[in-house]
Amino acid sequence: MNAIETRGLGKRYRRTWAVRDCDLTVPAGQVTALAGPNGAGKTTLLRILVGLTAPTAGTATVLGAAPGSPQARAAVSAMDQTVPLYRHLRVAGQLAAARALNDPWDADLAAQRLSALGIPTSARVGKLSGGQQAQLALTMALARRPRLLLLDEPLASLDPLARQDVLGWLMTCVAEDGLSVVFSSHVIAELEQIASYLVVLSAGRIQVAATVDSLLGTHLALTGPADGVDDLYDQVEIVTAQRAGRQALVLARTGAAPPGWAGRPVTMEELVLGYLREPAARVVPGLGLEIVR
Amino acid sequence: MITVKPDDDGLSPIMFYLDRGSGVPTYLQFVHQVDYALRLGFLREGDQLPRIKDVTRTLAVNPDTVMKAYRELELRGVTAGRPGVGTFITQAPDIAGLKQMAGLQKKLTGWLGEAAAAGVDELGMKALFTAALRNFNDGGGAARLPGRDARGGGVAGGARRAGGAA
Amino acid sequence: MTAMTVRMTRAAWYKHRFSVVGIPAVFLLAALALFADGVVQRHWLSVHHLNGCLVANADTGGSSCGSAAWVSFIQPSPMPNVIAVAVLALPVLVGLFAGVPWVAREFESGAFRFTWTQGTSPRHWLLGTFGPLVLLAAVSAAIYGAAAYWWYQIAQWQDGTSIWSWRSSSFELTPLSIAGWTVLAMALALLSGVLIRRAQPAMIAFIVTLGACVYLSQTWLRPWLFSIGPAVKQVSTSAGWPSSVTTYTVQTWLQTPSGQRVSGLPAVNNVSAWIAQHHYTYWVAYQPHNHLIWLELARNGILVTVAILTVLGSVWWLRIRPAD
Repeated sequence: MNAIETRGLGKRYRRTWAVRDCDLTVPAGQVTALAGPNGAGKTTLLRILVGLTAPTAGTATVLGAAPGSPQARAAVSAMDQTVPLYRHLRVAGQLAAARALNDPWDADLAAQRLSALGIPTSARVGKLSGGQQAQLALTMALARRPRLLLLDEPLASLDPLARQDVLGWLMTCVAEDGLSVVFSSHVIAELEQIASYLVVLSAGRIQVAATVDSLLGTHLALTGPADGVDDLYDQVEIVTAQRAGRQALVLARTGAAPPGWAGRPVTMEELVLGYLREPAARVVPGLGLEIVR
Repeated sequence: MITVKPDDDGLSPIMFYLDRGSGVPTYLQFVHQVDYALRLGFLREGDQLPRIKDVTRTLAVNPDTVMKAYRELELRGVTAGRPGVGTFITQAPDIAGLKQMAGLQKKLTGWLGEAAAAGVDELGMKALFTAALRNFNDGGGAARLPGRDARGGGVAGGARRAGGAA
Repeated sequence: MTAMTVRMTRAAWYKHRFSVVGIPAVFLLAALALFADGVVQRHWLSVHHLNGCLVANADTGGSSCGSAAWVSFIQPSPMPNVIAVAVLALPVLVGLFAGVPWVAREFESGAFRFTWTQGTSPRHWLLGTFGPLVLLAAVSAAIYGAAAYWWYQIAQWQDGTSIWSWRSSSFELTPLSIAGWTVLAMALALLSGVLIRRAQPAMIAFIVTLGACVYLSQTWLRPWLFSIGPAVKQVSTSAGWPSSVTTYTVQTWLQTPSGQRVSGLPAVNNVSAWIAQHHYTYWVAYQPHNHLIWLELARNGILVTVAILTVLGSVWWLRIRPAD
């Protein structure tokens, strides 16, 4: 079963399409990084998948069920960018309300985690720091024992130590429970260690959707002479090329560096930035690299 | 406030670390660290490697990465996995291997002396070595070098697929 | 389904404790105040031995109990009018401060992104949390209505009107009627909150729509209902008229000897002589008291039906436009 399947998914607000023609097939058990610039449509896509927004076009399923349906609700947990909580309640009351709204609810997990983080249950939710609120929201999302977790910039308000801790906790849940995670973030370097599937969203369209292994295994960062770039276009599939005086840096989809060029493995950050610089380039699963110029 | 405590209840003699900026794939770093620990005696036959969930919790890496490292070690015959228990060292490096290492290091020191006499500085020496190593990888020496798939393509099939599609 | 409703009710309790406690508190305190005042008044009446006289003259009013004590008892008191207004004020307040923010605040504060991504859909959440709240409000309102009805009997004695009067204020002062208005108020509050997803504009919209309903009910719905199936009776200008106190006159007309209806009266000095002269008959169509009870119940039923339809409409609207 796929964690996420979308066909031609689109969402229009008045006259602009926030998300358009999205075809996505994310297998279960993956940690998916959702990368893209501001306004690319990441939040809209996640809200559609969680059932908060109805799409204007196309279809989407999460774990085989329609978003917002009872089966989807039981299996999918989310944390929105705005960190929605009942800010006028105390933490204990917020947890109690969450327990009342959910049938499988791991109260022990929530209590343990909050006490480990030092968040008192008598504190008012609205008075907690941004990082603590994010931790609370994440704890509640996981206390529902989901099979798929959709997170919209969950680390934004966390300090470096807390980020490491949260990521570590999430990865342990993936290891132990087979949790699938979709994780949108600006900080791509952070996603590099944890992501096994990468989706790059740009101007509402999907540019890249593939496993990290296959992407890193099929791309190389080539360095060589700037005047050799034009010839290079005939030899390899170039995603993006940057020239600086005599040297050029090229992101290419190739297994080996052509003669005259030095190649090294790309980092995920270089890959994402490379594709974002070249909006016409897309990696379509099963069809390879497609560059429409 | 996150308190630091022993992460795995002392199950494994070693702990993995991560050099994020090195460019070496994470799983290979783990393989090398096990190798290194074996050679220095931190790991002995029968020792347990860190559990996957402990590594993911402390380093925040995808569990697949750890599994890949352990599979590679198993392929090399260094470890064996016991389902439900963990991954254990089955083979310690033999003394002869250590002797060979000493001889190789001596030869290398000789080469370094020659390079220095020719006026090559440390960076130049590193560049020469890196270039030679790459040539060795790309050329016929590839078959003899263990852990060849340095591009993170999983098993060699990934690289072959990439090469075919280029 | 019941298990989920119980869970929803608990969720509502945690989040909206203020409303859940406030609604019955407001109604019950008001009921208590009326009860206390009514007890005091009845005690005063019994002390002055006026009770028996008032009951005996229930149809014509207490003015015939002409004792000095009675005269001093009848002081112009604003309370009956205050109560008549407050009857509707409480449902309005309850709808305004408990009903409208229920959904409007959920949207405004962004908390809906939490509430509606949990184990229950917005529809179930709404029916499961708002439903019991409306029930609670209706029951509290009915208790308040019972106290108001009991209290108002004394005002009617003061007024010289019978406790059986059909007057608009007295019919509004029944438990059923007040509960009906409360249910309608809550339903309109819900609709305002769901359509206008911000608290303050929704409150304004709520007051406007509820005011419109009150106005329509008094000026159109009631006269329309009362004109259904009236009794017809021949009267003379001076006698035979049905009691203006206990009945409602729908229409009066003159009828020619041939049975043709003529509306309006001739502009002459002696109308009854003129009628006798021309052999006309004078008729009145009216609703006797036992009809009025049923018609008022029907009116209440219409209010509650409108409320139910409004709630269903709100739930449907929430389904087709969940969040953005």
